[in-house]
Amino acid sequence: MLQKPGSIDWEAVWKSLNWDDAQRQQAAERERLRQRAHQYAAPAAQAPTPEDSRSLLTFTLGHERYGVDVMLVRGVRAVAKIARLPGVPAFYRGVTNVRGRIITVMDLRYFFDISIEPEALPPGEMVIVRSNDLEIGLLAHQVNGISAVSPAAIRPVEHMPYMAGLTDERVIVLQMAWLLADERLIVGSATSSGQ
Amino acid sequence: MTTPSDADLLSIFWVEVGDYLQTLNNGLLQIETGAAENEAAVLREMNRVAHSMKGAARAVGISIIETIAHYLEAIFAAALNDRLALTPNLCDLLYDGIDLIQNVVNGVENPTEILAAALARLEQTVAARAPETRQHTARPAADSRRAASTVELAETGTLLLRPAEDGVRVPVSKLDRLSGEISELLVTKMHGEERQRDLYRLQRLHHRWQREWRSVRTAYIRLARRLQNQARDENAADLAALLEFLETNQHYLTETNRHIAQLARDVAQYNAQVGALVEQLQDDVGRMRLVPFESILGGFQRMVRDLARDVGKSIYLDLVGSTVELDKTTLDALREPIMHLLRNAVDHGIEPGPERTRLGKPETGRIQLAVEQRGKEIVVRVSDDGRGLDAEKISRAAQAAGLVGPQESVVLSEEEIHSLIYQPGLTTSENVTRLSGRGMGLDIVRTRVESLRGRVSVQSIPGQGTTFTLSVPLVLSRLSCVVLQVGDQNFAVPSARVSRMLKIRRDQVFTAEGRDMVQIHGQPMPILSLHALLGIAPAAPDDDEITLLVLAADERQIAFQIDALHSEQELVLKPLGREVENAHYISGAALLGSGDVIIVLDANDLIRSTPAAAPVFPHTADPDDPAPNAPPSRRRVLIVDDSITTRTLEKHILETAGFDVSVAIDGVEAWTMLAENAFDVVIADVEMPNMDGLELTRRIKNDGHLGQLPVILLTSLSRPEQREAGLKAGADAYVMKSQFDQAELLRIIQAVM
Repeated sequence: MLQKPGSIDWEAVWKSLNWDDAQRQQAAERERLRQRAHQYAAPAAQAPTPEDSRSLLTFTLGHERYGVDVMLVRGVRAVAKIARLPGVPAFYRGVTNVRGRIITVMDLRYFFDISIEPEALPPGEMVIVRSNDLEIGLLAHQVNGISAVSPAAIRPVEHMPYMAGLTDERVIVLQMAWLLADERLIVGSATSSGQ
Repeated sequence: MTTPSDADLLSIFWVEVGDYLQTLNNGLLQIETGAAENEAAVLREMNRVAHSMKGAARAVGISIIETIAHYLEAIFAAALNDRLALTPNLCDLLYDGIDLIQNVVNGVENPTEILAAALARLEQTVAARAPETRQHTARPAADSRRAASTVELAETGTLLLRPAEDGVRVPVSKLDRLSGEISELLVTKMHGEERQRDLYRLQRLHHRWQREWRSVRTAYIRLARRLQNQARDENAADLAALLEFLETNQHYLTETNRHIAQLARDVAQYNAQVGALVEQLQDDVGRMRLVPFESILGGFQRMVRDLARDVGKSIYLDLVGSTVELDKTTLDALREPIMHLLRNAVDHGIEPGPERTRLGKPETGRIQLAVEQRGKEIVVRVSDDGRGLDAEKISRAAQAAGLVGPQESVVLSEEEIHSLIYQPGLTTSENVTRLSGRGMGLDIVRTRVESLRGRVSVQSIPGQGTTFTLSVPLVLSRLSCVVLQVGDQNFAVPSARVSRMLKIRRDQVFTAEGRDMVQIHGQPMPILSLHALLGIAPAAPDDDEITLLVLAADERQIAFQIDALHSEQELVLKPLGREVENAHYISGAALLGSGDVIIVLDANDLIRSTPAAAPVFPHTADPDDPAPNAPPSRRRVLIVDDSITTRTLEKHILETAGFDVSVAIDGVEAWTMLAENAFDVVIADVEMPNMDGLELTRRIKNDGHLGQLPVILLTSLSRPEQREAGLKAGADAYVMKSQFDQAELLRIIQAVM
């Protein structure tokens, strides 16, 4: 109904009225969620994957991209406040509240001994994995989505104990079950001698 | 109604039989000890129970239980009829029968010959009395009397005949699940409260809009007037429409805000209701998990009786407060510690009869097991009227176990004795008996009780008796805590362990033996920095005042320096993952109302961290300071020192630094250990009995095999000639106790290795 805005600065009016701004933000958020939902839903929408291909959830942490078997993934969430734990290895960043449960948060870079540059943005997402009776939140800067990878496309890398290999897209495929069975993950397991 | 499957039926049967067996055990004990006020009533109850058990066993087709129950019933009936006296021998036979059934319940196979022998004896006993039994069961008068005595006994609080309430059995696992769901509900409730706060924020936002609207309103009105007066301008129509829209907008927004305000009020009200209900639910479910203490007592009576017979003592076990109710989990966890304490009392505490007579004590020893609820704690006391802790014997045993050096024993204080008894491997029993005396008791007691966040203390008067007191919190999932700040993070400490919170001036700190100390109400105590212990950078720059939190455990008090004290609050504890639950200094975690996690510190661990006072763990805080955290490969250290204090101190320092530590009390022992085990470094005192440190060093350095093994000599002597002798003997380094501190020790070890 408006043909000519005239000399009124509508942008400023909107801003001062505040509501439109919020609405636009909301719309942007909705769009982001819709895209993400679409991304997550993608593999299901695809033609049935061949039996031997694996579904990987891939995420970015620092300069690396990792892939974990979706069967071990319990969920993805934004990192809430982390309480640091004294007396645990540096790869455990602390614990956080996930729907009333306390989940230990792990930064794979400390575990793999990857140097960490001071970063503007700390990892803001968390992939919760579960295996061998352990449930741990792996920090990620970004969760990219799920993709099907055939085992042939995963090229083994030598001397990398917890990596099944690299994909063509240079995603490091983690052997999560092995990693979660590492004794180093259990604090006090080697020195539980008591008093 | 559905018919239960065989498996269901069986599992019900096992529980039922378990109850019956307990009743029989308790009843027999009452009769045997003469504790029963109405013996006939007890007998009738046992007779009834045996009868019911027989029927139940027949129903599920377990003939062995049916047979034994039949004999038991017949014997009780005969005893009721005064045809049979329950002599100690007969009681033993009855106990045997009960045990045979217990074995079946436990899934333990009864050896055929024992079973056959027991059955034969039962049959013999019954065969001789059978006619009278039948005669008795036919007497109707007995039944009316029985009802009367039931009431009478129930009033005296006897174990046997408490009136049963109508109810169903619920497995604890189901209750656990319920508790878990309730804590989820609590969190959901917190989310609801968060939404309530969102609504308030929305209202504030509206107020801001309102203010801004008011500030431009005059401009708006002016504009509207001008438009009214103006000739038809091409913009005027559009502007008028727009202004109209603004007007309606304002109405919409005001209306919306009114709704939001109403919504906020409703949400607040619902949240309050839900909150109250959830709390009620939590309390009720918590109470459902409560079981009377008496449910584990039967086993104790029997155990004490059997043990006392084994060692040929006469002992009476007195139970006080058996109706006190406590959480099933707590109760189960307390069973073992209490068992150990009772065993100790029977074995070590109570003297043999003749000795008691000689001392002028009653021949029958008395052990009391008393339970009471005191505030938010359950207090269990096991006391005996025996000989008390024998300081001399404990010192000797401690020597034998290598916990103290030979010449120190004479000066061991009462506190030292009391802390020694919890050491694994310590036993004062001269001959190791079947059940105690392996030195395994009290350390288990302490570990178990502490795992329940409780504590153990002991009072002992030589010649008059010993009392062990166990205190555990009433409710395990909630804990009253002091919230404090260390660096930039908050932690919680159980309030029960906090003995004082105070601020002192920095100049009130003095040093003793190189350690910071403070005197609080005349009592000197060490100050430890919690920052250092937890590996957290101190927050505030040096201040004139220091905030201290005094924690108490093991009859010690230590002041911990912190940054601030915040509040005391009731926390809902949550389990930590298996991967971190054993981390040092942490007893658990809890959720705050904000949904944030707070770490609950373990006061026992903190107190026992002394005297080692350095950062034990690398600081894991900021990513741009990645502390190297590769655990050092476990180096083996042999500490040779005749003083228990020094040995403990060194052991503690080195163990916290990650070393695998062994100790020897003199050169001779060290030499033997060196022959048998590989070590990476030896730390030895100079002056020791048998073989001194210098001699030990010479031997090591002259040994072809051990020649390369680094030796550090540690001594309180500061005479230069001693120092020279040490280096001449081949020692790699020499540390004086007067200069001794742990950083120095670790540095020197690093240097020589």
